[in-house]
Amino acid sequence: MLEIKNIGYSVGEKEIIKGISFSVNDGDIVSIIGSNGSGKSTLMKVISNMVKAKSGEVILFNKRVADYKRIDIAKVMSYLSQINDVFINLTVESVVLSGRYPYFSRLSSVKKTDMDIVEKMMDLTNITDMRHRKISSLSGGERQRVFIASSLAQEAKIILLDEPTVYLDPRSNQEIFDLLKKLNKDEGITIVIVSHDINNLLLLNSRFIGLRDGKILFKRESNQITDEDLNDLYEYKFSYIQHPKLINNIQLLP
Amino acid sequence: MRLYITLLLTLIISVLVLLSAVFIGSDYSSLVDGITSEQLRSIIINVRLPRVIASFFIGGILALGGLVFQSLFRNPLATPYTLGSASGASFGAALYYALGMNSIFPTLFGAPIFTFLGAFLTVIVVSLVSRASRDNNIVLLMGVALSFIFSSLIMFIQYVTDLHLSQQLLRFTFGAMDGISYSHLILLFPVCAITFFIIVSFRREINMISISDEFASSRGVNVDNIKITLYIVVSIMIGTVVSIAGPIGFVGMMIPHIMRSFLGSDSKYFIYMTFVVGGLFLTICDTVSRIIISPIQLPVGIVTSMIGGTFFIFLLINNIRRSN
Repeated sequence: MLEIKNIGYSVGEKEIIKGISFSVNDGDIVSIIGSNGSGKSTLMKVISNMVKAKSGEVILFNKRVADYKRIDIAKVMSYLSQINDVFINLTVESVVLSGRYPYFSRLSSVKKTDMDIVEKMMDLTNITDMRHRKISSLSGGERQRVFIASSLAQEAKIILLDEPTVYLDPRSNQEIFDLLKKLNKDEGITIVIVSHDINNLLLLNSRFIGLRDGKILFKRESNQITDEDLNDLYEYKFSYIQHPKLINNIQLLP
Repeated sequence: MRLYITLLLTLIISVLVLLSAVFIGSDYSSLVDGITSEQLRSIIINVRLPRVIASFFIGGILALGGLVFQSLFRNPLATPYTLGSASGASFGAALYYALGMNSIFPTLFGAPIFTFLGAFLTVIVVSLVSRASRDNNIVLLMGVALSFIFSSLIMFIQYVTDLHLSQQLLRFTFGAMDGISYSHLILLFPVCAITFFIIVSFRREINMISISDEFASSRGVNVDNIKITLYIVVSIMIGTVVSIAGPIGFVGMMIPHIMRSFLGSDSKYFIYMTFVVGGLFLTICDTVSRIIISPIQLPVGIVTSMIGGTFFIFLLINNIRRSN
């Protein structure tokens, strides 16, 4: 459903990413890992057409992403970037409702079907109780769940997440990963995620794309990834143990 | 129910403020006695009435302009005034008079074109800076720097031109409402109606952009187009207001900020109420400025800046407290 073909992006002389190709199939979870500055976020922006690729192309449902109207991308793919500070006092419900934007016409009011979907997504992400609260009063984890619910309200088949658990405490971190697992398993949502939480990514049973200096270093299934892969990727020698919950899987020790 | 009471109350207060503003002044008349002399009648109908109506609409426009900028730049301190746009408009007006354009284009419609261009070019510069740097402080400092440059350019023009023009340009260093007539309302009404309608129809996009550009973009908003449209709309608003009354500060900062904390940005009534309360605020300030050292009329910009400057400091302290 999503094909990345030989993507390159540069700022001035500096190449941020180059020659990146991989494909994402329906129901996949694809994890993009790599050090800071390896080009992960740029890659996500290119895939979601936030920035235009300098070379190569992204094919979304057999059509080049660059040929889509923004509003039509929004109906099939949602991109969630890191949002650290929210200045404006919007309610949880209205942030989720903003996910229905691609289906609105300019002056129309909100329809019942829109509200039904908002209800469903708030229920799914467990935020119904806080629907009338201001977004600025929420904890980091709660806020992230609201943004995910908003992406879900777009009824997008693919969700791109750029470090959704950064700055979160361990419990909120775990809740987000549990939610992602549920969305993938029960709702069939395809997920492309950038994260540094290797252990949780392994538990998601995802496919891994390792990015170093803007190039793909390796592509691995979750159970194929080796300690050498990770040592190469981060240029550091970590300690590993066998993951107690998984066969053939390593766990990265801090 | 509570909402309807609030709305009804606002309506009653509006009528009371506007009515009493017309009757209050150095030539005073009470509502009970009615208008007692022919001279007073003339003052009320030809001077005070258009001035009160204009100050209501100008206040509303300033508050709306602030609302849009605060949201687009994601900063309660960002307004057309603090980001230098109003100064850019003033400089446009100064150029218009200094170049003798008033003999070519009629003032009522010629000056607004120059003020619009001044405001718009400034917004473009500031928005380019905000695109290059995510640091809000740099954007604000850029606005402050531009304001200083424009002010000194206006002062330069004032210094080198003749006394008459110099006097005329004084209007563009601080805002004032004297000399407003019905002809100004002919310009003010349509600008107000059209820009208000556009902003209301963009309310969803404005709220989404206030979260982040990428958030809005990912939901299908064409962020660049919406932003440029709103920059033009706000520049038209500010250009019009400055051409009539000069740069009036801080209405655009205080009113939307206060209304936002009362109603929330996603309230249906947020935009309407911001407009109305902005209008009432400026009407009250202007009435105060007319009578405070009567018979001398103080420019209203002095009153709003006095109140607004204090509010600015309050906001800053609040920001510091929050970040600690």
